[in-house]
Amino acid sequence: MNTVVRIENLVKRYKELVAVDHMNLSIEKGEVFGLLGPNGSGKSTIINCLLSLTQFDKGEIFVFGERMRADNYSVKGRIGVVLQNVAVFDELTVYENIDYFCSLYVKDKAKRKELVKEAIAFVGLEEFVKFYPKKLSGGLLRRLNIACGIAHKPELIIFDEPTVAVDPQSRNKILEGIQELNRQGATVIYTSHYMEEVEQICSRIAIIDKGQLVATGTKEELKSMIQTGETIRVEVPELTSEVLFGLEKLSHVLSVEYNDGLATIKCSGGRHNVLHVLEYLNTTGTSFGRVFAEQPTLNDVFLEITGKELRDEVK
Amino acid sequence: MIYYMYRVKRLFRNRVLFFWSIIFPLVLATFFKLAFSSITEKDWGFETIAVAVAPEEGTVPDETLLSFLESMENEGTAYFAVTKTDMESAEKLLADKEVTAVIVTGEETKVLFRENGLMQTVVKTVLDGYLQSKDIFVEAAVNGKLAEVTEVFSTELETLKVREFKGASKDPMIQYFQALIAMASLYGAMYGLTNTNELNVKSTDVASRRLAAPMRKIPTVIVDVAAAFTIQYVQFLILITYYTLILRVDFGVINGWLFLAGALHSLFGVLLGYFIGSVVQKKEGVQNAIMMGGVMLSCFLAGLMVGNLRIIIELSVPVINRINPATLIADSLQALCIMGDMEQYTRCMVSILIWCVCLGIGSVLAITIRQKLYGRRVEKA
Repeated sequence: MNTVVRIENLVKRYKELVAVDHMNLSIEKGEVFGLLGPNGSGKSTIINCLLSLTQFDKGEIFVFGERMRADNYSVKGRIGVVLQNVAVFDELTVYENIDYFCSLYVKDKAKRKELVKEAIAFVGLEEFVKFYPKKLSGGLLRRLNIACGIAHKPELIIFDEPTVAVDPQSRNKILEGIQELNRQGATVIYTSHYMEEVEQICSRIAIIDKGQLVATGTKEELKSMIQTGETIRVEVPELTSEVLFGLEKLSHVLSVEYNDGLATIKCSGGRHNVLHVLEYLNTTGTSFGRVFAEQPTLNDVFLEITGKELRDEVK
Repeated sequence: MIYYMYRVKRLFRNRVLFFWSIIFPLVLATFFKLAFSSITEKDWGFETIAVAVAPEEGTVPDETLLSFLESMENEGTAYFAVTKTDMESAEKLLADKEVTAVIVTGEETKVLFRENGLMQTVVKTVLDGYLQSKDIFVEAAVNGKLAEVTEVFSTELETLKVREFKGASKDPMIQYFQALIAMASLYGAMYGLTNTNELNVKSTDVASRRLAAPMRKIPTVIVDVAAAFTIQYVQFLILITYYTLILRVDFGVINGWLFLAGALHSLFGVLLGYFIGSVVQKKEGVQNAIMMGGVMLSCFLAGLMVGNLRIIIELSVPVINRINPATLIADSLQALCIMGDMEQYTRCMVSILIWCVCLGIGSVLAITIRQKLYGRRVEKA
């Protein structure tokens, strides 16, 4: 595979705050690469450095094999950006906005007309081409934001939290669109603090916290890095301390928590964990209700590595 | 070309910018015209003002004042029709509106009116001037300096004679409209400020998107300036058209020099915005507040709010008038339209041009220095 982006020893400080701390990353052609981390972890700063929108203190960034600089126009021309906030002109219509931002990359008028038409169709804004952004709903605005970033058919597309404050329907459409762009050949960098989204679309993920790279790999690789293999939740109206102690002693059980009639049992990877737990409850005469078994999530990965919940940070 | 067209559309369609740079000066001009029309047509037909002069009981009439009032004339028309009478008759004349004012002489000279208006103001102003001069002469006579004071007064009269109006405009209120043009030109700073913020990633999101694209910065800035200048200049043309054709303000001359002045004023406004945007790295609201405050101060000093403030400054701190942009803009128009003084026009235009160069260099320097300081900080780290 060809390396599309290579970040070496990147450091970015804002006065005393180290926003990016000796970051090393490599993104290959054809990947949907996820940058996952809580708000303020440094994801957007990495993107800004990558796009030469901000100067950095130390390190090197290579894109398509060339050193990235603010005046490296040939490389910039191959990148598309969909920013976290909707970045369009309120005074231009949907069509004019897409055409304007496409014109920054494509000079040929006829070719641009085709590309703009395709981008409008891709995000499903055909009925709104003459609308001004203020007349669009939040979901449609996000779609316009995406169209402005992808109209010129870039080889590398950076999505910086494109689904923030978007309804579930529009979110699914956006995620499907990103996967479609990837199928069409674009390499995608996707930053988010929504782990479900990252799990859903990313082929490789980098987990970031406080500007540092915590872990990187496929979602399977990341989950295999942690002890927790399965989380079992059992509705138990009454659980004595003896039974709780007995559960903890079962093989593969890492920890047991009991709150409000719900026992949460974390197990290491292994077969028949649910069976063993339920058998034990039966033998002790403990009655139970519904049973849920979950594979580890990226939140579990984040929790085990950093000692805090990704979800909590999001709040 | 497409960048330019879209940039013009983007700036022109912004309602806030449109209001302040075009609608506001038009509305203000309309109000000025309405206010001044009532003054010039109703009150100021240059009719002789009837006044009664009456001594207080037990005092003798002020013959000097009487002859002073009777001597005042304009092109053969007397300023005042003076009735010399006693207090009782004077009050009756005032009550019957036979006279505009009654001047009461005695230990203290005072003036009585039934209502306020321009003619009453003229009587008061003339009387104040007379009393001031009288005091100076009396004091000089007491101190034995009468000859020196007389010489000073003669020199002032000579100086006043030099300032003949050679321009075509005879509209006494034109200075207000010229100050409005100055204000509208300075509001061009809003376009410059918007342009800088849309190329500064710390200020706007569209800046990030634009700078992530493969566009060269200098040509982009040039196109942005050209678009802002176009709108600002069109706005100047709209103002001039509206003033002359709709409001019938007598500009005197509508020629190439006027359009050249409008172009330079427009450029100045845009560059002022660039300078503020480059130097003041604060939120847009703060930048706008600084810009609006600066523009209003400059216009205030140019006499937009107080008509004769520019003259007061000229007599006390003339250097302010030489560097205040709004004054320079208004003066260049005044030189062209009222004075017919091309030397003064050129001087003002050169001063504005120097301002433009300074603002341009200042903007570039502010950005360059900030980048260098960042570079040094990085090296130290």
